[in-house]
Amino acid sequence: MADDPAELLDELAGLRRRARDDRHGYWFPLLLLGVLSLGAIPLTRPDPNPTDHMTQGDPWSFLNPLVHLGPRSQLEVLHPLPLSLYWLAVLVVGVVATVWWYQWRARRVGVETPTRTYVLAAVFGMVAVLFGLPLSLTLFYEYSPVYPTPLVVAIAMALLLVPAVFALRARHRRPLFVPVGLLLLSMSLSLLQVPDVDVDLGMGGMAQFTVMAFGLATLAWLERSVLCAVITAVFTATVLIVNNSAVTLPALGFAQDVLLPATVLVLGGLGALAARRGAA
Amino acid sequence: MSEHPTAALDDVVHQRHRLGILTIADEAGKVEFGYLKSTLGLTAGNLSRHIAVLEEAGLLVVEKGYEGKRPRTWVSITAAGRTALAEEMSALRALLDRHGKRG
Repeated sequence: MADDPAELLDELAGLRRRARDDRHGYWFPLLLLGVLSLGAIPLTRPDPNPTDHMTQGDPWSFLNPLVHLGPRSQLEVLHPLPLSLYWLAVLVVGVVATVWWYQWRARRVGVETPTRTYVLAAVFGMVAVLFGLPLSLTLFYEYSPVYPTPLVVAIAMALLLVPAVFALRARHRRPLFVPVGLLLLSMSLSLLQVPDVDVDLGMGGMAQFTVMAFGLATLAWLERSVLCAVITAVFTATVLIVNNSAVTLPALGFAQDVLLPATVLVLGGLGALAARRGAA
Repeated sequence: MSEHPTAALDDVVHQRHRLGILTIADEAGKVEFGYLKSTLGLTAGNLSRHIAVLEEAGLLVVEKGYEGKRPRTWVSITAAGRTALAEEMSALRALLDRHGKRG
């Protein structure tokens, strides 16, 4: 073996870098999610008679699991249900195809990126959007005994976070406690949506992109990739800008909410593929 | 006087190729035998012997299977393997620091 410890450490660092480069495959999920997102645009046609869809006075309307998937003004598109179901399918297909991709690549290249944490992050994102947000918004908007000021929200978040941490760290009956922990955690985070705090992470619609950003951030960490982290940061910033922007472009209609984040994903995926081919 | 860093070096791990195997396995979820062989530039017999030593010490787990008719061997690092690798790297850095201070 090498006698010089510096030489040996350099050699090991080189091996680690090589294995890391060989296992990188994040261009595929970026491109896939971007293309699938662009596929939602035909379903975002505005409804010429938006009042047809209106349902008022239903205290349980927030409990619809699909209410946060879709454009920001979900009730004003022509086909709100097919659009929400499409986004749900995009999230599920995105996770399944990404796991398949990494396993397929591992068989070809011989070195595997572990995807278990990515799957857990994606499942957490979906549980949060489908169940956590609707449940907490229903409780806070319809049944809260006190007005949700920032102090009330902070206390409520803490009260939800403590049992969530205990549930997620449970050593026994994990299949029961982990989903409960994820639900409580997502309910806690969703309280950022209340008017006096007013941080829209996509809870007023477009939450599919928040789930994607969370999944991609997890992937960037698993891949230990600076480029993937930068693309994810640009994508997340774009999503936050779109979610919190009041600017409307009538020529694009509801497609404007999809076009920018999806374009960032497609360009990011193509850029990552080009960088990979350039390095090979 | 503090203990000399070489005292922290583990005889099972402190071998260039075994450290290479552990480093690559630590970076990936699973790594295939052929990938290790070409990356480390070892013969199949030599690599098998190193893997067997690390497996026996509980630092690696070996999975054998088939892909179609082709036999494939996958290697993954255990928690004990990660700890052993981290300790070895710390010992090497400490050795480097000590040499640096004296040099």
